[in-house]
Amino acid sequence: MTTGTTVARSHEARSYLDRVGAALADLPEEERADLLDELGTHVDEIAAEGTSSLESRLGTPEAYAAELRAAAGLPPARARGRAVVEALARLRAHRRRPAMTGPEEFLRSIRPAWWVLRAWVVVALLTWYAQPHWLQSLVVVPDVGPDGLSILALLAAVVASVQLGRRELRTATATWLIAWLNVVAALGLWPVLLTLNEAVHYGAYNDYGPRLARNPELPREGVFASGRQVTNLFAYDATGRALSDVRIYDQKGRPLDIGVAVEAREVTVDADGRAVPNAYPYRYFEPSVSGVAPAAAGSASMVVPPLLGVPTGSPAPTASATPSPSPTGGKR
Amino acid sequence: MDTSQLLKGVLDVAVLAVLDQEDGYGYDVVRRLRSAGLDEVGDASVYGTLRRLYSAGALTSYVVPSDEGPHRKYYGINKQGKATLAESGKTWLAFADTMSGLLATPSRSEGRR
Repeated sequence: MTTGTTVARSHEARSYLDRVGAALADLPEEERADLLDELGTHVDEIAAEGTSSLESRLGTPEAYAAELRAAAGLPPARARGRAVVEALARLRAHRRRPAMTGPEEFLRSIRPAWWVLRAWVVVALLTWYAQPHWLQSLVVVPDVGPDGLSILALLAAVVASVQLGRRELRTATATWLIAWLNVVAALGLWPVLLTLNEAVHYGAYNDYGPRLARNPELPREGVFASGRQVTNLFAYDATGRALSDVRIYDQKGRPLDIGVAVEAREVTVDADGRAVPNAYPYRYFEPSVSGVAPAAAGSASMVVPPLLGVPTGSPAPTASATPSPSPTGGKR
Repeated sequence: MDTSQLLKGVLDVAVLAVLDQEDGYGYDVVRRLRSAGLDEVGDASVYGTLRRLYSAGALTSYVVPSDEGPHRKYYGINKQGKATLAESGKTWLAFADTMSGLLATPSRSEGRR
């Protein structure tokens, strides 16, 4: 400590340590760091003796690592000696590790994912009940205010969680915090995922407030009124009389087909033999009867008063009842 | 005969015996083993053995700051280690006795006793 001889490690020593470290790469990080720490002091001392090169004194780093493993009762990486063979073996062992060495190693290998996940779960939990529409507020980036702030908060939480996971902070408080963080996140994971799933799937269809306006609408078939699908249209004339087989066109002259329950509708055909999908009201087959429901089914009890200021008894001119089939003709 | 093969079986006992005399750090143990005559003992083997014995609960460990360099991790033998040493020592002596008898060099085994 007082002399600088061993503080500045030579390039040779550093590269030797690195190579031993690489040969021990499959060990748990804590164990590996411990072994390398001790080897570091060892190498420094040998370097201080300054008699010969590290390799001539200790053997190749790979051989050293293999000997260390054998003596310490650690699993061998693979065939000892040849650097290339060992590197390949290490690579293979590394790739095979999750499946081959049991659930403990597998869990260890996905720990970083858990660090990120628990940060997200904790932020989600914190923001969850704070929102008026909490079901909707739980989105991929938990809402803590403006969008930018939400993302920053989430990133900060992820960084903090990962640092805790890597044990960058070793204080007693940190250990205590980690334990609670894990418990809270583990307990919160399932409800948070369920709620998020629900929000993602059904959020756009619910009337939970202004947030919904931000969600992109899915393209929909058919006609909607106040968010509910229209299954039939009933037309009444000025006198309040229900009309049947009224053909309706949209702003471009296309037949308006509300597109529901096509197989349950009676097919209307025009004089040319073409199916008419826009003659309203639809006549639906009753679910249990093979016949067809009356044209005004569902509105039988409805009374529509006549309009004011319209001459009664004389319906609109018949010309308007047959809409022009071409959009250009309909244009004025 | 290759001594390193023999060494493998008795390195635990040798390390425990060295630490029974006095606590030591890794390289110190290596040097003491070598000066005792185990020239072929590998550095890595000693470090690995120390670690395994420590994990097995036969050794204690503490870090001592050093004036001239890095902090050193010292190992000392504990009660369990002493018990292991006594047990293994007995086994080894009996084994050495047997081997000596087989090889008909009784002088050496008598010298040990």
